[in-house]
Amino acid sequence: MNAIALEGVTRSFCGRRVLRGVSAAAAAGRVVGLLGRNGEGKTTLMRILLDILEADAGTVEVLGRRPDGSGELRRRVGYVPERPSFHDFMTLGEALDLRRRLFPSWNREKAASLAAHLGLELSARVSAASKGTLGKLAWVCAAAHEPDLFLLDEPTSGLDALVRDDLLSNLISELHGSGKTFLIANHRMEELSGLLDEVWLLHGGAVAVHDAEALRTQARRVTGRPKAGGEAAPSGALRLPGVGALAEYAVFGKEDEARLLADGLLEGAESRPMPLSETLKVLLMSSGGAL
Amino acid sequence: MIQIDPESSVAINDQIKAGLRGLVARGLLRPGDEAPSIRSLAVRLRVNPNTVARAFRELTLEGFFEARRGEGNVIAEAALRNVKKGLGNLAGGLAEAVRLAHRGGLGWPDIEAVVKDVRREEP
Amino acid sequence: MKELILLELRKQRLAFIGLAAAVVASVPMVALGARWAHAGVREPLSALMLFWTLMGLPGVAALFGATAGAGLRAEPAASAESVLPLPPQRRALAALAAAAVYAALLAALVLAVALTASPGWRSTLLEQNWVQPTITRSFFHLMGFGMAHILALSFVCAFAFGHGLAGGLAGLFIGAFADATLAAAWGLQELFKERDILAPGWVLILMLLCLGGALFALRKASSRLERRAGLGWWHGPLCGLAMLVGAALCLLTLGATFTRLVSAPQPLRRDPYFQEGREWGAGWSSPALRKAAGQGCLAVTLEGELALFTPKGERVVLVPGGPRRTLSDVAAFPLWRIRSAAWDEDGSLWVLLSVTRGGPGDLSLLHGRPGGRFEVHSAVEGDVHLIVRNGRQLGLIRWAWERNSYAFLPAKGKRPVWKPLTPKERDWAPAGLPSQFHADGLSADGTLWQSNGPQAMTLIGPAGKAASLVDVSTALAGLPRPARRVKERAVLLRAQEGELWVLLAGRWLCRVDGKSGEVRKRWRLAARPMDALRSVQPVEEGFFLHDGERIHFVDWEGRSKRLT
Repeated sequence: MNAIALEGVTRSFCGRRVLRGVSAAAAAGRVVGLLGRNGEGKTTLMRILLDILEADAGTVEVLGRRPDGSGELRRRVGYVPERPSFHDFMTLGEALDLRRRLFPSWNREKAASLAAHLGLELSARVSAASKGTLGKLAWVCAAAHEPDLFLLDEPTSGLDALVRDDLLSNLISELHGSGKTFLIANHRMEELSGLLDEVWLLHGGAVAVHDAEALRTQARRVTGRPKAGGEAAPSGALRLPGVGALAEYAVFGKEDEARLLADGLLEGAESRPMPLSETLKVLLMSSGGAL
Repeated sequence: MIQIDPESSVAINDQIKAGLRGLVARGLLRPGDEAPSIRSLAVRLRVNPNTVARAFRELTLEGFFEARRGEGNVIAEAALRNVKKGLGNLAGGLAEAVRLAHRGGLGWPDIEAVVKDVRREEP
Repeated sequence: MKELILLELRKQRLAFIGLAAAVVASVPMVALGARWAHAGVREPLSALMLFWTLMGLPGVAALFGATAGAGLRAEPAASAESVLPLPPQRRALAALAAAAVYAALLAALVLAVALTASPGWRSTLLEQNWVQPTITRSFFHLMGFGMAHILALSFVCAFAFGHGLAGGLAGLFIGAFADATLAAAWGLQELFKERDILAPGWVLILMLLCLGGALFALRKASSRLERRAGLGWWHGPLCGLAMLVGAALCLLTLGATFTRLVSAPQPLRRDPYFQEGREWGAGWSSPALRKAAGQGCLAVTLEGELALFTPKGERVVLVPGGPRRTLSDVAAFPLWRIRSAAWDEDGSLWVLLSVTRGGPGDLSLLHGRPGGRFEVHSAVEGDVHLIVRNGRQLGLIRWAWERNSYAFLPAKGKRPVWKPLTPKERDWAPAGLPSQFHADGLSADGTLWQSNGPQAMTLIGPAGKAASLVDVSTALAGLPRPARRVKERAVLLRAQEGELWVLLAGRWLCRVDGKSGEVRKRWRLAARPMDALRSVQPVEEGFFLHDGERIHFVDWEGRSKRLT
């Protein structure tokens, strides 16, 4: 069963089309990285999945249910927003308490142990809490009600290295044996590259799905001197910004690599494996992320 | 402990397997030792526990792990033997590569420079 | 839901505490100020509580509503709440409920402070020294509705604008306008209680429409809370319309109520006392006079139009009405009233009209013919009535404490010459004053009768003595149960060929046998006369009846027709 199923999802704001026909699906238990530049619609997509925003067109199914505006869907989804916000007159403990009363599946022991594990002082005031503390609190709020789907929007941005470590460890613990699905938007994909099962690249309002394993093992960078008359990139290869007289291409898979070398466009071509973070950057830069 | 490079083009579960085999080869893990738990290894390495689980499954199929009742995975007796054999293969392969390089025109100082470079990269 | 309301109460706590403190602190401040100015404390405190009640409470409602509405969209709470598993409509409703709780608490506080701090209010409210109990009760109802309405409107406006002050002012303005017009209409109805110009059921419907419109707008607007769906351009105007429709209807209601008040003709309430003379005898009320009287029913509107309504349904205007009066004119009550009217033997009509604002004062004696000339004959002063003396001649009687006087009709333009009325002037004393005899009414054919309660009446013979007793108890018994419970006297309308037409239980026209009292035929009237005796005028073809608002004409076969 798919945890997330999107088909032709479109959404505009004030006449500007942010999402144009997004179609993608995530099976249960997968870890999906949502990649895209700022303003491309990552947060919009998440809000649609959360049933806070309605798609103008297309079908959305989250954990087998269609969003209906009642908020029921959010009972089974754990969300960490880009900027976590809480009622600033509350203490951390009261914030957790409020959610305990509103989420039917809230696990009190888990909330307490998570909070303790992350070093949260429950009597501290939200208004006096640091960004790191709020980030940790957001994580506890997202995880304590045992959701089947996690939507994390830049969960580690602006947090110091130790807090990031803590959150990632917790994330991995959640993953273990649970069948829970994760959709994570993170700018620093290196942090997550060991975790990802697939990557959704959001560009131009559409999503291109890539298997993370395939990208990791098959992406290669080919460098060489371009022969005269060879400017156009052959199919299956992405032209990268070169250094001086050299030209660089990114290829995915042995076939494409062989074709590029056989084309005879390059002299003295060298081929190296491309690290995942570079691959993702390349995909981001290229238009549409098409291969 | 083992190192994982998530950026590397080598599949992560292969890296895990290689790392564990290396530990056994260096004598840091001995037959009869408990294997690290999937969860703790995943957290330590910052990788998907499913990937670790897959590596462990493959290692068990290989005979590297033994499942003992009530104790989870344990390094098998045969593990050391297999690793040693594997190491022998690796050493043989390296010797062959050096021979080829030398016969191909690479001088001894160049060959030693390569080894030095790699050592620097992979401590 | 309870959780949400508690959360909202917590969020809005500050506004409540501040206002409550202001209410409580204002009392000693005003008391001290009064003492410092060497003035009494009682009046300033009463005035202070009046301020809090009349101006303060609506303002408080607007404040709480606007604070709650704008607070729904204030960060960081809005972001924090939007991801909770709740629909936005429920959050909006919880915020509104919390604001309502605080407003109600504050109103109770104001009331409590008024009772403890102000002796004037204490005596008014507790000891029930109400000037007009119904008006005070209505005031509380209207204030309660007004607060609820203003609260809801301010909430929606503040929420829609995202701005507390603008929303609060908008809500306060619309709400106060609606409530003021509704209160004015209600006030008119209370001032003219005998009229039926505003149905209480309609007032309730208006209140529900006002509140419902605000809630509808809230429901539509709360989906905008997270900009869930792409909204059409028509959403805003629709919500605005929903909020304004109640106020518009209140204004229309006020207009309609006022129009009904000033333009519905009010007939003279007949009082045989002053229209028939003392002498009962054959031919006492001369046929010529009776024929003249059968010409129709006189009525005057508050605008001053005097008209004669004929059985056929014609409306003959005798004195045209003035321009539409303003609200202040009407409130100085009453304006135009027919004091007394009588037909002369030659078929001309005399009408005594009071033209000043209320009380005995200046009267105008008008004379003329319907359809012909009709004009002011002379001015008269005092509590004066027209009287038919001897069954033939018209004269005037003036009541003054122990100094009653009589006069003949004056010449045109002249004032009447008053002579003291003593027991010797038997011609002039109307029936029952000071004689022993008393007739309740005169039927269409000229029969005098006296009521013996709901079940019987006495017909009076030529010499003025009791002639026969008519028992209508069997007729009454034949009526449906709800009618039997009405304690209204039986009224004789017509005696013809041994049959009597009587009005029973205020609403049933029955044709009964003169001797046995058996019902031959009966009809239930479409309208109930205000007073079975005084609001009914029998003439030859049938009878006029006035139900407080409209004049109807019913013929002797029970067919009725609305004349106004």
